[in-house]
Amino acid sequence: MVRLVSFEDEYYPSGAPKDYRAQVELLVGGQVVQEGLIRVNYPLNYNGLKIYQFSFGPAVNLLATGADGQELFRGPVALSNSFRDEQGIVRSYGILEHPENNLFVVIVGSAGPGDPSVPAGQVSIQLYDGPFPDSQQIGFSNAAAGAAVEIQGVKFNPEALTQFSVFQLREDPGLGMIWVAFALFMIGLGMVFYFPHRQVIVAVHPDIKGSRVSYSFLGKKGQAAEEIQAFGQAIGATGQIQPKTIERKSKR
Amino acid sequence: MNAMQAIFFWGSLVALGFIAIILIAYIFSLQSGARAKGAQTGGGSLQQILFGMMVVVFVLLTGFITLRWIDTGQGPFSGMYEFAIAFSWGIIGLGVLYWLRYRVMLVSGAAALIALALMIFAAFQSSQAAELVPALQQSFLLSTHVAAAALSYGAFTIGFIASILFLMQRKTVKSWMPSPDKLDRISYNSVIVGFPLLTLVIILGAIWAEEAWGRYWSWDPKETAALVTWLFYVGYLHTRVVKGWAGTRSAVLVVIAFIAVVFTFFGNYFFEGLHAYT
Repeated sequence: MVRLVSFEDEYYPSGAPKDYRAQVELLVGGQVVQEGLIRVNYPLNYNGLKIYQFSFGPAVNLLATGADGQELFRGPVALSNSFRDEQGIVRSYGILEHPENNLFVVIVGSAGPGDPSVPAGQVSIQLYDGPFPDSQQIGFSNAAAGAAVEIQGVKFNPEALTQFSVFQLREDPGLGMIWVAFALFMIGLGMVFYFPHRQVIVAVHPDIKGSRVSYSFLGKKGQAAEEIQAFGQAIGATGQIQPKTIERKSKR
Repeated sequence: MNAMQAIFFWGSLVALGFIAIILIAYIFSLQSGARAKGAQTGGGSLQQILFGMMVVVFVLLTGFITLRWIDTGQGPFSGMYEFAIAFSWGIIGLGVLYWLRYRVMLVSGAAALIALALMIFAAFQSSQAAELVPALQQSFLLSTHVAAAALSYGAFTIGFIASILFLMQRKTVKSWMPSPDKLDRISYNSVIVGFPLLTLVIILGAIWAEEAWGRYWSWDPKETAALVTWLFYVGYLHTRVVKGWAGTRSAVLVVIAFIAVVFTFFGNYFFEGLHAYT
């Protein structure tokens, strides 16, 4: 299990993102086995498992109590969905459904300063009579962090406005292989281009008037031409065979 | 620090402007030399001036990149301003190398014109050091990924120029121009330099994506554009090596592939995506 201890997002004055830092704890069987900081470009390694940042968004720690003071729900709700309203404002929302307590809630986050219906620092808590969206809204209210509101006899307290993070877990035992493959690929390219394969086939045909010699080249011609010429002359100088150059284009 | 950067930036821009002017004079001297004797003797001293200027530009751009690197603490390869300069640096660097190897000033000089266009483009961009989004805060990969891209694009620019000069002589061989045979060789050589570098860019990008986002490949527009570019050059190499294509058909392919390079470079203006940093 991954537990998010803290998440910070930092921005430049221009609004461009600067850094996303997620401090996490890894728990196995309830025990913290590792803690670490996850940033973009710096995933966390645990036993060959890599944990990457994927996305983040607003969340709210909500406490809901019934009319009799009984605690119906207490915990974080991630506002991980988003919608665009009639004015074109994009807001994030989260859904909390507890059928056993007949609790169906949609929590809508603020779009930031200047949001006309959900002011910054508040959330809109909307109560439904059944699973969203095939149900009727039976009441809603805006609530600031730490301020409880009552809707249809249910008290809601958004105890804190926080953030959630989504992590991507990847186990990639083949990463080393990929590095090797890439390296081999580059070496192969270098060999093909800079050390091309060359082959010269020399055929000697016996003839009554002396032997005939013919050549065939694989790869670049010309590079060995001088050597071949010299070779032919050397053979010719022995007087035993008459070199006669017949160049054939290789059939490649 | 900023004043020094500005001096290096405008110094290289002005020097590139001079290269453009001298290049025109050089072309005229080549033409008149060819008319007079039919031999390629014209413009010897202009050639040396051009080469000297290119070395100066290369030193200035290297100085700029070094200063900015020290200033911002990371390879100055983020944002279109910095990358346009890195691209120019790649072109000029490769231009100098190809001059040393092939002694064809027309190719290196004309490539410098593309560097000039990039520097003018950069002059209209904000020179503010880009604020690095979290994904880019990986100094080693940022530097290698983008430096390899700048060099491979530089090589492809040389190949593009050589192919254009080749195609200009398709009907009649112009005696003042470098011989088509040589141009064909230069363009092939530039591809076998640029192609492995482009491959390296894509590989480093994939590894980086794995580190930053947990996936090698996201079909981000710039990734896809780089892959398409890569495939164009694959096509060029295969038709050339396996099918024996050369000359006009190869040159046309290089020109098309270079259009893909330009598209990849400016791709983040057309699409959104993971590379939309500027």
